[in-house]
Amino acid sequence: MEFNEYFVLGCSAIASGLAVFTAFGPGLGQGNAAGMAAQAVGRNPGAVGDIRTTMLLGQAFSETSGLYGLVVAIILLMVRPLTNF
Amino acid sequence: MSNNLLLSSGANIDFMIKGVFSYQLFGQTVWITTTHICIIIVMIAMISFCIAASRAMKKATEVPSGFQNILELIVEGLDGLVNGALGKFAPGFRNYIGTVFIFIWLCNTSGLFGLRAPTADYGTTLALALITFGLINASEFKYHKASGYARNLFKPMAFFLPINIIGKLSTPVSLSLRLFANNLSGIIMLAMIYGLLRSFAYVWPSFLHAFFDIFIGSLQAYVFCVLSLTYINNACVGE
Repeated sequence: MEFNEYFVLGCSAIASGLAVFTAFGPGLGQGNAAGMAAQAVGRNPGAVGDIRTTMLLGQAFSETSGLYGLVVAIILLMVRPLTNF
Repeated sequence: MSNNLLLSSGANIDFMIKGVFSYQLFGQTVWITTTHICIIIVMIAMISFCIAASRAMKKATEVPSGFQNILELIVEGLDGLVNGALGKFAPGFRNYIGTVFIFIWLCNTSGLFGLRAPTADYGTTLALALITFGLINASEFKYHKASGYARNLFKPMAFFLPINIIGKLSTPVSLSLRLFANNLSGIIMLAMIYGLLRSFAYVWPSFLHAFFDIFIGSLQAYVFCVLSLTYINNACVGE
């Protein structure tokens, strides 16, 4: 087998697919947060506005790790940092 | 290879930044890209809105009506956001947070008008995050003096210095990457739909625009401002 540029490109494609898999964690976390918010609304229907704001803020923060994965995937595919040899 | 960031990728899927023209500056090639042009359009929109607003406020009445209502709603909302987070430190930061919120919001929603959102370019968001970073450190210097700033680096123990420095430096990175990646993901999704479903993508992508541009855009503008306020509050109050 020859380890040329195309081999590295293929590996980059596999790696970017794996990097996007980080969306697994934020997906679980955001679902958990939304479920908890639904419970909170059930207990205290008066505080819907506060609960929604807090939930959206928390979800936006926890989304960050998934977005890092997206950035890594896009850099691997578009900038191709590994093929500069 | 570095040209790949400027030139479009293959197929019909096109979400990259494009260079419009380039010039030579001290031996370096400097590209004027679509981001610059979109930012200029957003700035023109912002400035004309401000001129119209100051004209309307010159003949302001005791009981607001029409345009004055909208302006008071915007200003009161932004002031309430800053006052709620900063308390007695608020007056110095109202201008910055308000401006940044309106700028990011306009940038994020500019996708509705066929522009490529300028906040989906890492240069824009990094600049915004670096301004916030400078503001955080400046306010820590102002309220704790140099001695307090140095002491905060050695908290809770002396060997925490490298961790504290990494923590400080990671602030602009996380702030900018969050805004950048959120907008970029929206643009990629829409570009894929327009590129791959070219013959079907007629009226219904407007719902996706409503979600990605308006909802996510407004939320991320809000999150950026709230996070900036939280960091600034930590720097001002300390202890």
